[in-house]
Amino acid sequence: MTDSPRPRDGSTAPSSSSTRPRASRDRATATTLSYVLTLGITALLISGLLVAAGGAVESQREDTTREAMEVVGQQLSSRLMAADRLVAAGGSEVSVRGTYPETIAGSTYSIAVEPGSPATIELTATGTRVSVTVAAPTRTPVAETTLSGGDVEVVYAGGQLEVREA
Amino acid sequence: MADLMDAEDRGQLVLVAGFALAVVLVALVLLANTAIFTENLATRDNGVGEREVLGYRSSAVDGAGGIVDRENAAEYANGERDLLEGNVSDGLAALDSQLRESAGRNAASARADVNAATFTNGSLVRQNGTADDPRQFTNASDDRPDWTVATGLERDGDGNATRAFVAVVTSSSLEPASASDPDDAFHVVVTNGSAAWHAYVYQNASGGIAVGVKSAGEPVSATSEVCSVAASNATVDFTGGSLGGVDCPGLAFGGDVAGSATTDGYDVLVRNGDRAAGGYDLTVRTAGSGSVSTGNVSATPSADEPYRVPAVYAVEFPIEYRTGEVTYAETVRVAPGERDD
Repeated sequence: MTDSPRPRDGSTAPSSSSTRPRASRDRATATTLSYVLTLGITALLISGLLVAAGGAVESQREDTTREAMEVVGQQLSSRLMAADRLVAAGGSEVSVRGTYPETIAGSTYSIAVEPGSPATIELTATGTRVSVTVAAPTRTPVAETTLSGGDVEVVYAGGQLEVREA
Repeated sequence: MADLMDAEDRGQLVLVAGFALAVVLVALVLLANTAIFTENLATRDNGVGEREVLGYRSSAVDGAGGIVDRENAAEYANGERDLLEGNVSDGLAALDSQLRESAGRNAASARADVNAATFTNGSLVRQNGTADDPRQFTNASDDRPDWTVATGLERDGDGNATRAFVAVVTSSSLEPASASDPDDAFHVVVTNGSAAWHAYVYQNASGGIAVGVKSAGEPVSATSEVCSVAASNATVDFTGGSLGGVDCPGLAFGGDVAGSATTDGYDVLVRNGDRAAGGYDLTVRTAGSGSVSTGNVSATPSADEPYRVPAVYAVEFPIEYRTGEVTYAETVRVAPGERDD
């Protein structure tokens, strides 16, 4: 990393010469070695710390992303089910809107709606590739669609519920 | 700031590591902030307010049902159908303005388009007896016990053609009978010419007021007693399916005969009308081929004979409810007291 430090004047420190009358040329070697060892161990410790902290940040980011996408997914699922209830009540024109962040933990994400029983909503973060699946049981069929995260609208059209970008 | 280029100032390693750690800590703080925002997002969501939408819808339907019932019960004369429909429209407009105001308080825009309301013609058939002053369920002109109330009643889409058929009967007027042999008891018959559904009202072995139902195509002995009540008088709701105010699941007016499979219309008949006394009301759909039997039902209100007056059978009108988060529109059909299929 850096050059090994040298004594400033090429001799042993004045304090050591004054306290230790027996002058020895080998003393400098010990100082150099001790510096190298100190620096090496420090570098090792610090890089270990950085690696661990980086890993912690990364796993924290994944956790946060997963948690945030779960919240968005569940809110979207509740909107889908609310729209389903309104359709079941006899609504001919039903639309439900939701406002969500466009990025989660600094990363954009996609929303994939899969029909089925029950229908599922899968959210995938583009950066961390973290993916969350939330079920949305509805009586009305749900259209298959994929859109990018942000504000969405659930619309009843053509006998099925469709999730669109708002 | 330390001069990193000066070899005499040692400590670059620690300094660089310190910067790196600072960056890592800032990243962690940002992530914690995201987590806090997420918790905030999770707790502030209060749904989209679909409960308010459904509440508005049921208020509109119930309110309109009440208006239709009250106006029909006011007994307009024959030929006053326009007046009747005009008054129902006025009532709906008043209802709309009240519901609009109450929706406005919830930051919502609600609207019932009264001008677009469509009416389905009907007739209210009524006999003014009560439990205290019971009258036999015979016809108007010659007190015959077996008579036809209405013929050719046509269903329209999801809607039925008879609603709010409610009779009050006194226990003492009923014929003692059992479910296995109820032929002598008062009964209401719904027939489409090929199949007939029967509902018998009689006094059962324990002296209570009982209702027996025979499905289309079954022999008389297959009649089953669907419910009974021990009382001196009781209300039989043929279309709502209840006896004495208690739900009676087996009593579904007309069964399959008045169900969605019957598209040609059906007749409603009374048999053994002299074996039951009290009073009754029913509203039939006279749009299409449906009509109330003129010979058996008086055309003008009468104190002790069954009579008919013009009525609104059903009304349909568009409703709309909007908030920042939800849009709902529907054309509601209001026919209070109709059997649910």
